[in-house]
Amino acid sequence: MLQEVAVRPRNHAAQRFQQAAEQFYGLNRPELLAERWKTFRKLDVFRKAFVSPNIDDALRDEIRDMLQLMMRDDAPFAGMCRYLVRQAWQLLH
Amino acid sequence: MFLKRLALTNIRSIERLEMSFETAGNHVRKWTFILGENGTGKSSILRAIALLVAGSEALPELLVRPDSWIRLGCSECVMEAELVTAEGEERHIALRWGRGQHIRTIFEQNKESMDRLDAALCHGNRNYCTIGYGVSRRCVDSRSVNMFREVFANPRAQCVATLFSSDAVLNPLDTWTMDMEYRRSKAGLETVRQALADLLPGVTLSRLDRENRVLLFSTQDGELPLDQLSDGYQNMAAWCGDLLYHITTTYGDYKRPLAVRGLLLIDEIDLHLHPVWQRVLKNFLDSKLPHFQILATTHSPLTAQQAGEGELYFLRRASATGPSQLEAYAGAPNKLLTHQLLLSPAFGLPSMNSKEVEDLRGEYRSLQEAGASLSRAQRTRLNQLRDTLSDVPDWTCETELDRRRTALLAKIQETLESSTTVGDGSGGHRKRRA
Repeated sequence: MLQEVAVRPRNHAAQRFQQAAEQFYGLNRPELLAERWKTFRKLDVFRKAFVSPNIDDALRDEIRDMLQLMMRDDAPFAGMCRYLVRQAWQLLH
Repeated sequence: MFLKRLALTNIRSIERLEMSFETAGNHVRKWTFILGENGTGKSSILRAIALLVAGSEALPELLVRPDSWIRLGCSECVMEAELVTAEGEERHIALRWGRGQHIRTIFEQNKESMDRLDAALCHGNRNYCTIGYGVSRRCVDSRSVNMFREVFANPRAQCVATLFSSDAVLNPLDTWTMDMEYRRSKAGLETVRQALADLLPGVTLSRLDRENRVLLFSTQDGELPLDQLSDGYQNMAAWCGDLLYHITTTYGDYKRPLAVRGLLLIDEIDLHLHPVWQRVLKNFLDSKLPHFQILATTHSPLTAQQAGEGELYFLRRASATGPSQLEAYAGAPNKLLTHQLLLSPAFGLPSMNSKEVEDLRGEYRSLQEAGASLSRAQRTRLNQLRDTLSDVPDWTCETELDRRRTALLAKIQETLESSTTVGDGSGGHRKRRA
């Protein structure tokens, strides 16, 4: 089964930025789509654990630190992580 | 005519080779790719096939030095093939000669087999169409003072000339296209225009400049003659143009000349081609020559990656001085990543690292294994190597972020497993410690 995450523009205004990123950085080349999925899967597990009532506060703090690490400039797919954590899931600000 | 089986004995670097071109469904395989390091005999296979199907009129021109075909230290060579006609009839052909024999003796010795092939060719050179290209294929400038001339007189020899002679040149695309337009009007030119448009990305044949006797192409840089296109374009246009020339000249009266059956032999099919082109070449030839059987050699993993299951073979020597042996690639290269193909026995690369990095890693390992017995200079070298190699990308290397992430995932799993949900089991909110 094909499991991947692609970067898509949310609106018309974002289209040319997405196209430029695709053209100059190869943002959506096949290998990256699959690698991005792997990071997404882990991030999604952290999200589920973060909001789960079955974990204690100490572990939740560790997950928060990890989410921050995954959004750092030097982390792979940080843009996707920032978008999901801050905007889509609204876990952190 | 298609090739169904080939057997070679004592041909140059090859001691014994058996190759079947039949598929599991008893059809003849359309594509066969042959890989192999230099000097393993890839070109010899193509030349041997061309020689076998040449017929008695073309053979004397192609078999110039019979002894040069015989494996060193051997007294005789043999080449055999099973051909299958459009009607499904099989023909066995063979050529055998000994060291020191002259062409006349070779003819007498192989009379029965050659008569069989000649009988099939007797209706003219339109039967058993075989076209071949060697690595020295090139086009002469149509405006050059060195006018184009064939090195071989026989038309069947001309069709495979560049496989046998580095002096042989391809038919200049400019000249024969103009000639064809004159003889066959616009219909013939349209065939060429369409084929070149499909093959050369970003370039289309715009018009003929009759005064200067050149073809003009529309390119991103404006209208240019063929000889001002890049070498890659020129090479591709040259041999594909020559291929079109042979087919349209021989079968010009057919409604669809490119739909004829035949055998195409190409040495280093991707010569001068950018990787992007290498990836589309097979599809191009499939669509342009739907009924041609194609046998191609290559050094390119991108070309080899186009091969389907059962279409890729590789030649290699079991030992440094031993004969070359042909092996079939087990699996479907077109389902693999290029690096998987490069690391497979077909290419035999030991690593995806550069040779330099591979050597540095080897040196680092041997110094590390020496351990306490290292001299001061060796310890300094070990540290230098450690610094150098730490900056080299390593796809198997786990980063610090990966390690922390894996540890945290394990901790989450442990926490969740140690708590049992009470209720419907689908993630209720009450929990208790196990």
